[in-house]
Amino acid sequence: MDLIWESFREALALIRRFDPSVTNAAARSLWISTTAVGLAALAGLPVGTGLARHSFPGYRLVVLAFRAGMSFPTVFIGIVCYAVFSRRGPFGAMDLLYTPWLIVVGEFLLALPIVVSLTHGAVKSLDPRIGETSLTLGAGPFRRWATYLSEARVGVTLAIVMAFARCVTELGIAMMVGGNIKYRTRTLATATALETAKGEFSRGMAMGVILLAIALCVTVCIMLLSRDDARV
Amino acid sequence: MVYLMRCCVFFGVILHTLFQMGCGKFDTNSQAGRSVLRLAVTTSTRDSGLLDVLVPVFEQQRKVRVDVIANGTGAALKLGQTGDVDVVWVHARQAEDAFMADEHGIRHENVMYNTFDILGPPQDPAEIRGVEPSLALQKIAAGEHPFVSRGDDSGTHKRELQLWNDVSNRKSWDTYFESGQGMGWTLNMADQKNAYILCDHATYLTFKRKINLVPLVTSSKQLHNLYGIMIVNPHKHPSVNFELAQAFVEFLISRKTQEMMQDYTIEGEQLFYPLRLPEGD
Amino acid sequence: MIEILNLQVTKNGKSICCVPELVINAGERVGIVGPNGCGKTTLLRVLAGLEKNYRGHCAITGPSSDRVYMHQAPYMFRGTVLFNVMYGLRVRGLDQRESELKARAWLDKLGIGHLATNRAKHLSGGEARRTALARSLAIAPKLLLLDEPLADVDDAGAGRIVHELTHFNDCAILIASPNSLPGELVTREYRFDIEATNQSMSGSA
Repeated sequence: MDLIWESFREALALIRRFDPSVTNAAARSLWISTTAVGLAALAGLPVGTGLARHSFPGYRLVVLAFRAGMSFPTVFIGIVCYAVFSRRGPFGAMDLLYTPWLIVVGEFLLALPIVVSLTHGAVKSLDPRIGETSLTLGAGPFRRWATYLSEARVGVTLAIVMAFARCVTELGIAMMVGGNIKYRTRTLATATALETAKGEFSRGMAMGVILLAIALCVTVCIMLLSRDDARV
Repeated sequence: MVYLMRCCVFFGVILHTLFQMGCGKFDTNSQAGRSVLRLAVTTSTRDSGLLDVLVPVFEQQRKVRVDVIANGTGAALKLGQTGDVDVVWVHARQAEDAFMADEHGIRHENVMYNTFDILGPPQDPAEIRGVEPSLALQKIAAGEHPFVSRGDDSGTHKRELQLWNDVSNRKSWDTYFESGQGMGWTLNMADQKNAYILCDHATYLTFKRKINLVPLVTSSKQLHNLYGIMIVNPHKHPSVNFELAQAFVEFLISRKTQEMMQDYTIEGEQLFYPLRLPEGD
Repeated sequence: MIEILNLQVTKNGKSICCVPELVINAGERVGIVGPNGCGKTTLLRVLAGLEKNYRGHCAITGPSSDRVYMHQAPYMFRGTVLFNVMYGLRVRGLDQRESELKARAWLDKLGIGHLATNRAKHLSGGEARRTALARSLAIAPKLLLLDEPLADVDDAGAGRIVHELTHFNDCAILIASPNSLPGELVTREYRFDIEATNQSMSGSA
């Protein structure tokens, strides 16, 4: 139990002093994961909605593939990205290895199946009258999709929150393709791993606590943004 | 109804599996009581493969089980401090001295040493080939050539810092990277970036075929990496398997084992230089 | 405006709707009457373009954007009553201000103007029905397909609905109902003939 109390105290101390390595890593975790999830939402919401509303040969396989994709170990995604973007890989010339941008790519791949699968589930279980009503009122396909997402708001919000949670805490991708380089690709998650390897357990845990706090804040923000407002 | 039955079967299987695992675990710990040795080592030691040779021999001889917990140097020492392991085997002399001074350990033995190299791109833009290690680092810093450091308080990192301190304080430059990862990954990074790096010889040999970097500064006393083993103080932590720990230490400094260390090779090269052979080598 | 000949809709081998002949002209108000399960809803859905698996001839003049269908139990979108009524208008490109004005006007006409800023999901059955009707009328359709619009509505509300529908010009209105509708609302009635449905069933069986 001492370890836990000690780390809470340490976390507060780190925050109060604005310890540069911590703030740096925190800001990086935040922008990397937010960008990755944002891109995944941009791509995934339409795909998930489309899958829920249209049938085509092989549709079940696609749904299965995305659902299976939610279980990809982060290390697996990390290795694949590494292989593709390393000097010896096909995209090595882009020089993205050991930059935060490659972590964004990896986390995008991590977030996408989550967004697609959960959006698909949410939209699929919508009342069929929604589509019929909007269709008969003259809404075109894009407007209808927007309506589905709005009506399925709870499920879609959950999809994004889950995707963010998975991204901001993941270790495998950031380590493999980022390299945990100080002030460049170090995220809070990888910094925690490092502190633990150094034996600085309470400092490591403190970073974990800060990470938790950030994840909580973002979750609250997302939920506030997608609240049902009484305003038109 | 069918669904309910399937659920029951599913949970039944899970519970059964857990039960088996639980049973198995209890058997080993309570019956055989003192027959597990918990050993903390660094990841580079584990990755060198030496333990894969030595540990089974010890396990066979004494009919015991050795749990090897590989971590960073700091974590390995921490596990010793908290009494979560019985023996700590690291290569960070100053940290070991502090460990013993604080009475976390009750016995310390020098076991063997291996070497570090300073690796770099074959073209060697900093021109450090054959130069003294500290001077070599100075030249790299002066020319601001890419250099990758462990940055993690590991034995390797501490040696690097020592080498910097021998000349002047390490300055930071744009292409001085502090990776927070193990030796293998850090070496990979250095290779990708065509950078200089301080690396233990064993890891280099393991990766030799896969990387472009080559050893530029190799033989020097400054690059000797001493391994020491410490038994965790049983007075501070009564749960320490003191008897077995003693046996393991004796095993490591015994002639046969020391010769095994000497004979251990990667890519045909000797890696470890035993310190306890009677005639010395 | 609408021409139907030998319309047959089958589901799982059963005939759920059978209309031998039906012609409706622009501006007519026709009651579609019959007991539950006779196929009134199906007929309206076919005309709305929501049922595509049918046999027979069904022709409607005018673009599909001129037709509106109102469910037996209309769905309220998330948001306010006003948002719901504005939906069709906004979708057609009307700006926020204009849409709001029109929507409010229709809500007032149907006697639910006071509910404009209420959450649509919290309405009673009758209120929801009137909201859906306002939603449908606001976009000035040429063909209105209403599935039991007077169910659950109190007398005052029903009065308003009848009034508005009777004064809604330039639009053919088909109203499905289990019972006969007031004469002022509909000019004629089409009764579903159960015998005909049964006959065609045994015929195809």
